[in-house]
Amino acid sequence: MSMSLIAAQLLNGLQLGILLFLMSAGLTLVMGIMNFANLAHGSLYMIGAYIAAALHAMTGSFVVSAILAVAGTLVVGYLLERLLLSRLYGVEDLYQVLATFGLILVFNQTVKIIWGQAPVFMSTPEFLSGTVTLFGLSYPSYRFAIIVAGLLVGLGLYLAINRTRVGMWIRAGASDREMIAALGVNIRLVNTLVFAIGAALAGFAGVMAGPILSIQPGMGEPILVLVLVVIVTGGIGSIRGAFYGALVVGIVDTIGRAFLPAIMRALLDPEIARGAGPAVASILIYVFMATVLALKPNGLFPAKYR
Amino acid sequence: MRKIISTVVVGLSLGATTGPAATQEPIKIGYIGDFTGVAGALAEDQYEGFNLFLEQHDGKLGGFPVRVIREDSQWKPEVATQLVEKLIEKDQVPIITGITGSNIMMAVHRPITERKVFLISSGAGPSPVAGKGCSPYAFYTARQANQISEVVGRYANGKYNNVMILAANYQAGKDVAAGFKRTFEGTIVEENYTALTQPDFSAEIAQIQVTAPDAVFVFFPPALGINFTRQYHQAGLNATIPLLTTGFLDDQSLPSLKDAAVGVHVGEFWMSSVDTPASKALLDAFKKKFNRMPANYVAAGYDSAVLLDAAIRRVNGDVANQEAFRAALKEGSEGTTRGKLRFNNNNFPIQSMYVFAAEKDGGDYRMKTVETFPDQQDSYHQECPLP
Amino acid sequence: MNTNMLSRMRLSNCVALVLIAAFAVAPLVAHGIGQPFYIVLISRIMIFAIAAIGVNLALGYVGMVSLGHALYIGIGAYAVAISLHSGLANGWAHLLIALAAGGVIAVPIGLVCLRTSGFGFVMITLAFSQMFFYLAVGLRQYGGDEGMPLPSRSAFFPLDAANATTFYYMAFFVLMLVLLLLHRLIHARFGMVIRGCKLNEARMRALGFSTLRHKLVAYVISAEICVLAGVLLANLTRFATPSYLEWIMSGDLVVMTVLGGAGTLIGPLVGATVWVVLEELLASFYIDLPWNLSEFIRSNWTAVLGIVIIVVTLTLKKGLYGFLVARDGGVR
Repeated sequence: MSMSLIAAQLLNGLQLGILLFLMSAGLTLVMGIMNFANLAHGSLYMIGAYIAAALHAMTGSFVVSAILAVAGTLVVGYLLERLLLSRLYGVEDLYQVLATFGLILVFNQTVKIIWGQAPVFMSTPEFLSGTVTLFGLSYPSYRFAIIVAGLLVGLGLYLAINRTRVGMWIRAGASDREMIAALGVNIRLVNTLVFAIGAALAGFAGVMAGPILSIQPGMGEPILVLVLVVIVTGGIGSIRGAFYGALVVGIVDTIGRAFLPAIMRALLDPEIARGAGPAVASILIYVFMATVLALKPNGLFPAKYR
Repeated sequence: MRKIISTVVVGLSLGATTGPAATQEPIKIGYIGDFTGVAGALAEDQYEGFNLFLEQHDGKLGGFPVRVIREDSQWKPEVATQLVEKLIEKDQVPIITGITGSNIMMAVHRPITERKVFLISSGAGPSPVAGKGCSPYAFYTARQANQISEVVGRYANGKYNNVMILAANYQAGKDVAAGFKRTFEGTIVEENYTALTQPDFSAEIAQIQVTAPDAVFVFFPPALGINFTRQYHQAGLNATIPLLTTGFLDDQSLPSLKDAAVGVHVGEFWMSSVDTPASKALLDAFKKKFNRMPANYVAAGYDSAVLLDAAIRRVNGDVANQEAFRAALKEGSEGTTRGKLRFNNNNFPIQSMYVFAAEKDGGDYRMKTVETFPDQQDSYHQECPLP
Repeated sequence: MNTNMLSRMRLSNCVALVLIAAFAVAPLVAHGIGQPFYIVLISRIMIFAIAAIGVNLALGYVGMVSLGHALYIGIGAYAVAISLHSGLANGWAHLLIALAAGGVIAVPIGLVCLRTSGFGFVMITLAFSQMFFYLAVGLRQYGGDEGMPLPSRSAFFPLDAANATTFYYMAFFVLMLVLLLLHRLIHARFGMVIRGCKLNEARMRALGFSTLRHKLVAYVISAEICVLAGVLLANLTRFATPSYLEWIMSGDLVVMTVLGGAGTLIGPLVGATVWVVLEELLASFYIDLPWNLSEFIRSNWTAVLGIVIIVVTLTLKKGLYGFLVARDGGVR
């Protein structure tokens, strides 16, 4: 097990973590402010990927289709919040979650009607289709681009939330909603804003994942589960928590997959290891989450003050 | 109260009652596919193939009108068993066809065949039902799941010494890996399995580079397999470590994979380059109707209709005579996309298996036949007690 | 006004009674109209209803939203499957093994999970059920992910579980038993305490109640009810598969509960019935409608289901049966 392999795997983990962070950032704030989990967040990721793939096939320009796709999911997110979810704020939160579950079914079927059941593919932008040699291994430049773009967005988000007035409202809303409403801030407006930006970020994650993954109905659900893991381990409502949570989850998942089977083979009977290795690697992320929650029930970086 | 109950019951039955009874009672055929869920695209293909034959023959099989009752098993075994009950008890179908997922096959095989209803699978063919669990009432028009990788192992012999295996961690993945290992005579340097829900293979691809085998044999469900192939190409490995595979690369996925697939070798039972009259006819008809290329599940679905057509004709529409109909099915059929369809003792086809490769021809991409392995039997038929 | 209130109060109770009476006589009707298939369908509804009632005890009464109760359905199903596989056919033994295994697993998991609350609880229960899901996938000798067909149903001497009608009434009996148990439980002191926990846990603690112990007991009972459902489900389908443990199953149970009305006795039963019947009606929609609409519904039935869910939450707000209860003045 060479150092170069470990370094390469860390990079892979970082790249997954960045995608997860883009997905988690908006959702954790919405959950912090409005107190309910929007299960349809994964659908926004899917929509971003579909729009980008369709535009890319049409225009041939990755940058243009990426920008339009992000704008498109922003609009979808805005409309979703205004037309549907805002009508649900008076309802018990469980029923809000139920409605977003219904939304998943509708979104999945809608993309199926528009783009068909079979997966859709998006090609890598020409200028990023090469590889870079790193630690003696060849690494796709596109994956570097994901890391860089994700870090830039993360930095922008950090500045917006920590250095602007609206950012201050958002932070305050996530930690104590009643208080900030009492101070005269229009919490609903803040929430619409956060929701739309969160949607755009999820759409951006979908765009970035497009050239790596196959784009198909239901692609949002597996990643939604990982995103929720990130959010609760990081601490609901905390951007910082989402960032570190995403990186840790991305790295734990990747390193586990990469090295656990080999380690188990070295320690156990090969036949047993072959059966158990992948199972253990798959549950690693859940063991991690359960451990964090058992020790720190409010996550690693809790935003709430109670 | 009684009135309410009867309304409830009537309401229930209303939703499912059949259309107006025709003067000549059509033969009922139950169709179960995983239209919703991860295998949705496969299930659609399989159904379109079956349906295409029906459309070409005015909705008749063997000259008799049929009524297909299509049901969605959603990749959920407990839903599938429920549908079997409904099709057999309520609709009283003598034949159930379709079946996409192996897990669905395992759930429905016994409930169907135990009651001597005919099961014509145009998709799943897992090893338990090919071996000890075989039934005289179950027939298969696709392939036994291990066959498609056994042929790749045969192909790899003498070409590569050290091969690494990478597959999704589920029964089909393990079966396919086992098939490759059974026929490959070189060394397996490493064997790795990934979770079925994992869409990104960056960690595994780094692992392959470090292991540096002569070739890699991979198997994943379609969408994941395509992900892998593209990511492998993005990492620039196609040129250095050849990719051997099965199950997901075909005429249908090639247009979206393009360069990423060139040079990849695939074991399959059918692709459009298979040279039979029925293949050509299917290719033309399918392209005309859907404006895309058919995949092998289309062929298997189509062939299941060809088989039923021949068998129903042989018994002159009397599918209720189970012994005669069973014998009629067992005879197989001429004119399938693979030529004459012959059944082994376990009712799986004895058929040619192929290794295909994706190649670039000017601006066009196509799958060409590299090697043909005729008269292949699956490896479990000896365990089946049927004669 | 008094009589008016009385008659309105009866509406939810009437619906409950009619529904239960309908379940009681359904096999007779099914045989009567020559469609015994419905016995199997309604057996499935009742099994899901039992599981949803279990989920509801945690979710509706204590406010613990679990996305991991599929785990206990899996334990029930695999207890039956593995016992039958090793030659033990006695159904009563299966029941005992399943409940014992359920208890042994539910107590420690419950203790860990109850350290968290709110959304943390949702995710930690999900984590545990995913661990068991992958464990089941890894059980190669028991079919792995493809699942394991059962050679027969469990032998519940002297009952003949292989007979569809007998099996139906066994499930019906379990359903009634579970409803009765829940009714007694929530109206006893225990029920007051756990419902108090939902409203204000700190106050209950201040009053001197051990809220953790009460919540744990509620969690374990709700898990064991799902184990019962699992035993029945494996017997109904004669199949055990990891997909019974999938989080989708947990999610479906939560949806059924909430759709029917969380925190009401009959809500989960209504939710399970509506859910399965809708799925059945929409997925095989054969009523002739103009513009090829029925074909459209058939191939897009999940979207129609989604729209139904959204409309129900937007209009009724407390679920189907919960709406009736609220209309009757909140008597549960």
